[in-house]
Amino acid sequence: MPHSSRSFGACIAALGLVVALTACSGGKKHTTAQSVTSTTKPKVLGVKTSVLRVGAVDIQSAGPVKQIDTKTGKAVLNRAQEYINRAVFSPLKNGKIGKNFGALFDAGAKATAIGPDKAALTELSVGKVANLTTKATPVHLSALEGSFGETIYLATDFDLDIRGTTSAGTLRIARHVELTFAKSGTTWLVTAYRVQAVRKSKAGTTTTTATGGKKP
Amino acid sequence: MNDPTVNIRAPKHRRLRRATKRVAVAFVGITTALVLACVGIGAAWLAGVHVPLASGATYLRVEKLVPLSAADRVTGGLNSPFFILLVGNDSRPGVGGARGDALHVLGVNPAMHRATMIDIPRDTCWAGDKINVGNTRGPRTQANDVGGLLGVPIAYVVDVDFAGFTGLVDGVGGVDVNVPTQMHDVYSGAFFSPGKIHMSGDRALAFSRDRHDFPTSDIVRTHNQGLLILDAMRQLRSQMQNAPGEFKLLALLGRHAQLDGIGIKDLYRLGRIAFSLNPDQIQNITIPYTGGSCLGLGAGAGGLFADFRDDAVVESPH
Repeated sequence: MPHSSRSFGACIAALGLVVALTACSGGKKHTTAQSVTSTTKPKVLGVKTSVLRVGAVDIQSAGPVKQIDTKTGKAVLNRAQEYINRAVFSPLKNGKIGKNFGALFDAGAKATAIGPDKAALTELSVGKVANLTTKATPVHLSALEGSFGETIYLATDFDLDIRGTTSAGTLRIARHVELTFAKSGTTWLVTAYRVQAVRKSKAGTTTTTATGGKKP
Repeated sequence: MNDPTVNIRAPKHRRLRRATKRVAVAFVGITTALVLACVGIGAAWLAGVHVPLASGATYLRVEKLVPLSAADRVTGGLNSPFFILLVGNDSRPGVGGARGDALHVLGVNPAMHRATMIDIPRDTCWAGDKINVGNTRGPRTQANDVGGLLGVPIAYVVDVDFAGFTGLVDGVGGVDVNVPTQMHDVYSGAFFSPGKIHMSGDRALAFSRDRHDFPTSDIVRTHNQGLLILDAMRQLRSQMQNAPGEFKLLALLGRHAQLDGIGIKDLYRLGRIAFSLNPDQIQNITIPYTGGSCLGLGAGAGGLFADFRDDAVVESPH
């Protein structure tokens, strides 16, 4: 091998070692922090269900910020709609919780959702209501993205104003619903929740709250 | 007639062969370099060395030391009591070593929604040396030493140096600290009057480093560090009352934490537990000690550790 070619090869190999050692050294430390937080409303996310529609979108990312795509936004919004169908509307219309209510939650949240928090998460205690009307605020969609911009959690936050009539008179329910979703396989499941329901009737006002999933 | 000084060009096929050879050597060299780089990065990753993929500056290191219990794997949560070691190391420009100068163990009982913080003075004797030396061999060694002293298995260790500490405090917008006594220390730069003070990273660092103001020096400093941690928990708890608040803090940690054996989902779970605790109900206890340059354990230490060990909560007031 000619001398120049040998030198060239050695230089390249040395460069490789330097690259490898630099990588092993831990890279940059304590450099200027960068902010990659954004609050945006992507044009592509004009999704809605029968009751819910997306309002503000807030993305917090540990890496590059990626917009939430329509498919994901729709999937999560549909899940939130399924929750209010099964937990809120079904009891008020039929007197019982909708089928597969527990299937909306992942393993970490399910035990409390179908257990001690059931009363706060659903309207089972109210029962059938006539002349039912519902209004929902636009859904505030929050996302947590990982180091590569992958969506780790998506949270839906909205209020419901429900009115109806019971044998005891008029009833008004103000519900605040925050559901945090994590992807489980191909579906998004509720992994944590914060809900509050204030029920006003002639008999008085009751408030139930629940905070659960992923501990507490 | 041939002139020997004239450079005779080699035949075309020879030149072509030489060029091919050069390209081949270059190709082999570049391939070797890439392979070496990949092997180096891979080996570093396997050895637990931070591979620089984080998007921001590294403020702290979080390492998971023990796997979740089998029961917790089923439920996807942390249900059993567990212990987190918080280390503030003294590494800064011009000072190497990274000794564990601030050592605090937070015992958390998720089922009881209770916790206790045990503060360990850096000069506490362990295995014939000061306990803070362990951190120079890495947070895992420090965790083993502290766990050995208290008799508890440390599940997570959080290690932060001076620059990381200030960056972290500034990253959350500063911290409100209830300063317990007058501080006037030129060494640390702590000049505070008693009462609630909103501190930037630099001021919080000065507060947590001040030992010259106190007759018992590092003992009071250690206790003050515990107070600062609880004040920070109080503040972060108020910021984590909804999903956007939780995500903001997690994104900050994701950008600036070196995570070993732990992911953002684990941090989310830990955060949900930690911030469900009421800091007002967390006891901040400095371990009993006896004098000397290498501190021994004082009377009552054994009882305190046993009380802490059984369910991560110290029942009796200290």
